Amino acid sequence: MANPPADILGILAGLDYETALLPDDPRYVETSKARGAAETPERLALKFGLLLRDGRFLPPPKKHVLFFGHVGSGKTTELRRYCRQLEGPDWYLVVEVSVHEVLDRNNFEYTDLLMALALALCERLQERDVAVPQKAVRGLERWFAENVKTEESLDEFAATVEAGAEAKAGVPFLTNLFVRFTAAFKTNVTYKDSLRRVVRNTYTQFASAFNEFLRQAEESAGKSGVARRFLFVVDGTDKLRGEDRRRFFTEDREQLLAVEAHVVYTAPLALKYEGNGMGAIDADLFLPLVKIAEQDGTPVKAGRAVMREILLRRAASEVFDSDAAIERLVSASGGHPRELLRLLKLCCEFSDGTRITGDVVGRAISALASEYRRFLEPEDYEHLVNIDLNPVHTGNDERTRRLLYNLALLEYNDGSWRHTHPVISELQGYQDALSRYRAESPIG
Amino acid sequence: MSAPDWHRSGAYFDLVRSSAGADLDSSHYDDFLRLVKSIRYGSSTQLLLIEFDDVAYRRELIARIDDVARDLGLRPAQYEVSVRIDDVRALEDELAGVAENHQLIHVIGDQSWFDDLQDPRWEDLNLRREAFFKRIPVRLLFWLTPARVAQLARAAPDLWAWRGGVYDFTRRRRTVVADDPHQRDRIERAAPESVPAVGRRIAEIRDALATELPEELRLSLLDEMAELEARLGRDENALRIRREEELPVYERLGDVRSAAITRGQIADVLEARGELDEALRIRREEALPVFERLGDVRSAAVTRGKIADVLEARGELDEALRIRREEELPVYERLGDVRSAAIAKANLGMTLAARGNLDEAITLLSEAHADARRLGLKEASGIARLLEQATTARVD
Repeated sequence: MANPPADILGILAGLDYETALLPDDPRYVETSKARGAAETPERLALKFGLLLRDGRFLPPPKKHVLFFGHVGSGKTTELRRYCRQLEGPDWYLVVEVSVHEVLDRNNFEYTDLLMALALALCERLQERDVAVPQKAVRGLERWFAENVKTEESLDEFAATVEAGAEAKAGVPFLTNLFVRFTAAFKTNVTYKDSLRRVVRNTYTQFASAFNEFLRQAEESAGKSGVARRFLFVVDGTDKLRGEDRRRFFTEDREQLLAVEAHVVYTAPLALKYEGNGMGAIDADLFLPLVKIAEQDGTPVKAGRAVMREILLRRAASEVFDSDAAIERLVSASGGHPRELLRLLKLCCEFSDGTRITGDVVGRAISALASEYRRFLEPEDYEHLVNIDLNPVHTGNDERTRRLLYNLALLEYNDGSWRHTHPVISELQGYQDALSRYRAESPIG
Repeated sequence: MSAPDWHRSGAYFDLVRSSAGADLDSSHYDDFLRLVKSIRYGSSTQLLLIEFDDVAYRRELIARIDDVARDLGLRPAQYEVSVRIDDVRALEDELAGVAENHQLIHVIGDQSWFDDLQDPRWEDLNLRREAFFKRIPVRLLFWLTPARVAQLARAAPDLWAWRGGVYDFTRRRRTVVADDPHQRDRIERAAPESVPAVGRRIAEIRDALATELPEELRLSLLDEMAELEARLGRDENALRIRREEELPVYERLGDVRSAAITRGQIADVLEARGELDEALRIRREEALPVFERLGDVRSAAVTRGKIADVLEARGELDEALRIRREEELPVYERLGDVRSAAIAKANLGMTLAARGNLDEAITLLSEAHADARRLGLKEASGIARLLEQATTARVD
């Protein structure tokens, strides 16, 4: 592992916490046990029919799984790592599908997802040199010929697809088709709505053709020793909010389930508590934060050690003037990796250029607390105090979900325990609410 | 150090950013320094949220930031989200075009949807976070009013989660600082020089310390820097300089007097932080015995006066009074140090007033005030206020 930078400016330069880490990144720290999620990889594998302990593989015909977690808690990083364990010639070929490029407010629907899945699969097949027989794509070619080519408003689009395909057939033809579909969805061209309408109106036919393609492609991948099944990992769907989220995961879930594939989606924590039935979508996999303290405040050594490690892979220990400074940062992070890195960035900004002292840490914590103060409402403090003092009776109302989304409220274990972000408890608003609560509570 | 190396050095950068923020309102100085540090050393793709509430001041700040950016070799640009920008895709296209030739873009948009976070287009921006920054890999500075920043956190939580920092340049902030006793204390401690000037001087000293210097000059600069850090309320820095950089040198040189003075200065910082016991221990065990051994009666008297200050702060008024009356004031009088004697009388008067001996307190404060006025001491007005308070207390 490369040594972490030992100077403030080097640390600051390396703090691009917007980028999800790849599993083999030297800055990656194993956090599963410390999150209380040691069994999550096994549980995920099991949902897709793989027993990691002995390698038995009994995949269900299809499976759609949601993977919940706080914003910035490491969902993408962890999911990539978990899924890598499911990859192998006798198991799955992982197909990563980022929908960030096609995400759009009031505009992202199951049709877009299906096209993104199809495109990602075609590209992955070509990347792994999996030769898929011509007959595998016939269903999709037929669907294109019968529905897209015959649609008058799509004449030009169809001509472009065919011209681009030229003499190509099979997977290259499909790749070309899906590239053009995705591009059309992305850019606001005139036939975007027509394309969507065609896909919607002929969805059963399209899904059936896609499923047939999937089955045959899986067969080919099995024969060529690449994998027996495909596992789609969809990243970006956790950004869907409010109405978009409800429509995609709830109203349109039957359309999603019509795709006979193995898919895991990143999902926002708020969706877990909205009370909308997920039906056949598996919705109980959750990535908790790293637990650095028990509910009664007792420090959890394993969790604290992991958070220290995350910090010290970004900044050499000698930069900190004391161990107490490191420990204080760990405590203030609440066990949220990105919040820890945010605090580290603030320390670098406040430091005089040589070391991170206790004073610098104090200023960083105050600055982060001040960022939360900007959007918290007076009633939020009352609510947070109430949750901290009555952890069993928290409920999942709209305010709670919003506070969870904004990280003012952090969730641990399997979601059974929540606590206010530690930096917020230093704010005057919180302290005042706490005093009021204590004054109003009956003695004893 | 060659000229190109110097321009790439951290010391030069400190000098540049301190100079650029030099005459800003002191409450904005730290945020300005943080912001330009993040621009210079942080990721090349960042979302930086800048709070403002004064358009003219925003213009001025943008000019300052751009000056620093150009000095760092970054090309800045300004983009106004006008009403003709229909949606986020269009904004993306426009900014992607600007980003081709610039590394820093100020995004402003008064009177357009950008200024209205109730506008659903912000949700789009939230959704398109990754795609947006993939296409526009620059330092994006969003200039928003405080209410807008709060709304952004609520309306676009994923975008908010990607913030590289929030920097407060509101005029509102000045009032808040003035109302905060801790901050007010810091500002007063920095007087008479402005905080920006202190910051600039620290940068200059740091720069000089990075070069070869005679030890005597180095120690003198370290002493000044520690004092300036303490003025800014950066006690940890002051303590570190005193303990780790000055004291070991004096000890190595066998300069026990300077070492004792430095220990007294460490006690000053600790006392200001409320660590009275440790401050008292240092003065009694590490400073005073040295001055006594050296026969430095004046320094010993000063140290005794400071011991009395600590005792008074701890409520031990009788012992404080005894020291001031028997061990401090007589020394200054014997030495003919009228200035120190005047101040010591005033301190003695304050201790007496605290004990309720108002008559004696008023007598001493009157003498001290007369001496201070005669000598033209700046403390004269402060002593006059103390005298007035004691007189009022006696009437009551």
